[in-house]
Parts: sequence; structure tokens; C-alpha cells
Amino acid sequence: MSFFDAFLNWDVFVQTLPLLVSGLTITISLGLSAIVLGLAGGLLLVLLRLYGPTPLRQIATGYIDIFRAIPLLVLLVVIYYALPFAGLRLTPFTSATMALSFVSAAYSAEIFRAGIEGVPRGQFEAARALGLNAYRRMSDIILPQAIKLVIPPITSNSINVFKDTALASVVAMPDLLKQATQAQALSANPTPLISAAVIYIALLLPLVRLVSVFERRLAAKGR
Amino acid sequence: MFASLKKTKAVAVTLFGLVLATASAQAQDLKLGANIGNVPWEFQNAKGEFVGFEIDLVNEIGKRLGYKINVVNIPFNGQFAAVQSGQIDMAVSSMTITTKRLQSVSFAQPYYDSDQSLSVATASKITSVTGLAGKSIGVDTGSTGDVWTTQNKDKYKIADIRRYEGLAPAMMDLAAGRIDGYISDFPAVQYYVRDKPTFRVVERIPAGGQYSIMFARNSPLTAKVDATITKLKAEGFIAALHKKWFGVAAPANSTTVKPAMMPKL
Repeated sequence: MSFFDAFLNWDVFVQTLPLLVSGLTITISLGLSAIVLGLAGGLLLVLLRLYGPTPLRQIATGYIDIFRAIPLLVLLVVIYYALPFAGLRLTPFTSATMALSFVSAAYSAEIFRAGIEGVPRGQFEAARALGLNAYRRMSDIILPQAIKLVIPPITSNSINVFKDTALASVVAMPDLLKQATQAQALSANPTPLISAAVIYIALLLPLVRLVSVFERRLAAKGR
Repeated sequence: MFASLKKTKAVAVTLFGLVLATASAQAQDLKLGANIGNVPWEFQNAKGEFVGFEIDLVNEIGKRLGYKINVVNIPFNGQFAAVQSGQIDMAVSSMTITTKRLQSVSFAQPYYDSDQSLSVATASKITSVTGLAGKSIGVDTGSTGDVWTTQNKDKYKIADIRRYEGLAPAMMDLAAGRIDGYISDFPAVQYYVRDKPTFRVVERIPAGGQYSIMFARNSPLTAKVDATITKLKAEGFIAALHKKWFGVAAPANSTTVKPAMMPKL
């Protein structure tokens, strides 16, 4: 049996494509919800960490440290398989979204912190001198500049979150990778895995390119 | 100077001999991919050794053919790519022979006739597959149970099929109440629940599955192993394995006892 028959088998590809497409819709909805929730959580965390009252600041710092240290797969298995013993039974989709966005929020918070700290001190002082309150200082002056600075790393992080959705296949989520392994077992042929790899690349390659474009633009502005 | 040169030569010759020895040893070794944890077919005992029905069988086949068997732990879903890329020479995972699989891989003759089974939590009111209307059912991804359940989803009005990477996580979800039943290979589940009163097997589902050893398509090893299986069946070796691992004798007309044809497309 040749390499082409085993790994690039056209018949198997055509037969298993509908299964992969159904997995793809789940991968996309899981990826998008985790990215959005992770960014929102990250923003909240960084504001607490930098400007919150002491106890909240310590909690935020502790959260960011712990969730950057815990392996995502372990967190996912704990949320899905251990929480039912504590009386909390979540669906596979909810468990996967939670695990992904909990970890992503911790990383996003660190990226946002770098952005906020990258805004020149003069901007903070000028905002205060103008008499803006804390909320307006952040929303109108600091965050717009900080976020512009961190668009490349935030996009990179989002790409990572999207790729990590493949881990959800361990909690019986019929995502793209899961459907590919199922199709592979039914036909005893690894072609669906290659198809899944191609689909992931086709989805994420434009985003990866976009990061480079953003980085070049930032560099051109002399930052 | 000369002495040291002689020494170097000697070392080189020894090294060369070693390389040759290793190479010839490798030629006599076969890599067996086994889905370790698939009780009682292949799993780790308390000492960390690989044991089980299929491990015993393949070790005996290796002995007869003059090969040393090296077991590699490869999960069910990884075995298809592994045999086809030549990372392993053969694979066991109580693997069912199907026409669809035969288009991509080869199998030796079957040595076990399997049924599927429905297992539930002991507290459940479900007593057979007719009670599955509106329920969530767990299966192993891409397994015979998966195929059977998918085909019969409408017939029994099953609400949802969840796909797991093996028996243990599915059983955890059965205990947690996320699924109402689990449809999987009868022998494995029966062996698993024998000391776990929280679960019970409520129905044996005839699905006509037969297990065998999987090879890359048209691997020359297939016929050799197949012939050895015929011999082992005649000697009653495989029937004895059945008695050893399941505690009961294999049915006299099953492929565990009677020789069978090597499956062809």
C-alpha cells in the first residue's frame, strides 16, 4: 500500500468530509466563545491586578499565576470529570469553553499588562491633569493605546486558544479532531487526520500572516 | 603507536560486530502495537508487565515463528496510522474485522466472536435497548459499538451519542450521570464490571463482530501469522487462553476453537 493510498486517499477523503465539516462547526463555535470570554476575563483580571484594592489585587495575581501554570488538559479533565463529584455536572461544551477561557484569561491579562505598562507615563499624568476620572482615564486614554500595542501577541494567543480546542475531544466533544479520529477508525485509514490538519492550517494561516502584518506596522511607527 | 592502532582496530571490529548483532537482532524483532488498558485483551498488571489474552497469543505466535515480540503501547485510534506507516508490524486492540477496514489494512483469521453489550448504572431503570428512547448513549470513537449505535439511533429513538476514547472515561460519565448507557464490546465490559457494583450489563447485543490481528495492507506477515493461528487452534491453545482470561470455555463452534478463512475483500 503506497503512501498516497494510506495518507492521501481520495475516496476516504470524500466519504469522511461531511463528518469533518460537522466537527469544524463545533471547533469554530468553541474557539470563538473561548477567545471572546478569555479576552474579556483577561481585561478584568489585569485591571484588578494593577488598580484593584489589595485583597482583589492579590486574588487576581494568584489566579493569573495558577492558571498559567496548570496544564490545560489537566484543567479540562478536572472540570469535566471531577466536578460532578462535587455536584456540578457541566456539558462537554461548557466544560471545554470554561477550561479554555480560564487559561486564556490568565495569559491575556499578562499581555494586557505589558501593553498598559508600555504606554508612556506622560499619558497617565496628562489624563489626570485633564481631570478625567479613573474610568475615563482607562477607557479613553490608556486602554486604546495599550491594546493597539498588544494586538500582535493577543492575536497569537487567540490562535493558540483556537488550536487548543482540539483537546476538547477528550471530553466527548465531537470537534474537528474527534470527528477525524472517528472517521479514521471507521475506515482504518489515516487520511481524515491529514484532512483535519489541512483544515486547521487553512483556517489559521491567514491569522498567522495577519500577526506579521500588524508587527511590521507597529515597527514602522517606530515603537 | 602500533599498539594503539591495533587497539583501535580491535575496538572498531568489536563495534562493527555489535552493530551487526544489533541489526540481526532487530531483524528478528517484531513490534506489536497494543491498546494497553483494553482489559482483558492487553493491559498492565500490578508489576507493570503487559499481559492479556492477545498479548499471550501474539507472544506464542512470535515464539513459533522465531520472532521476539516488542510491545508498544498505542491507543486504538493511533493504530491505523501506525501499521500503515510501518512504525509497528501488527496491532491488537480486540479489533473487529470490517469490509471498510479491509480496504486499507489486512487481518489474520479471527479468533474471537464478539457481541456488543449495553451497560447502565445499577440504579438505572433501563433493562434493554428498547428502553433507550430519548436517552444519551456513550460509545468508543469509531468502534463496532459506535457503528451499531449510529445505525440503530433512529430505530431506538436514541437522543444523543457521545464518543469516548475508551472504556474508563465512558464509565466515569456513566457514573456521573452524563450518559444513560454505554454500548461497547461485551467481553471487555463484562470483565470491567465484574468487581464494580455501580454498573451492570443489561443486554448482550448480537452484532456479529470478529476480532483479529491487524497488519499493513498485504503485509507478508499476515499469511504466516494466519497459518500459526490455525495451528494454535488445532492444539487447543487459543481455547485454553479463553478459559484462562474469561474463566469459561469458548463455545465449540466459535472461531476461538474452529479455524477460519483469512478475511479478504
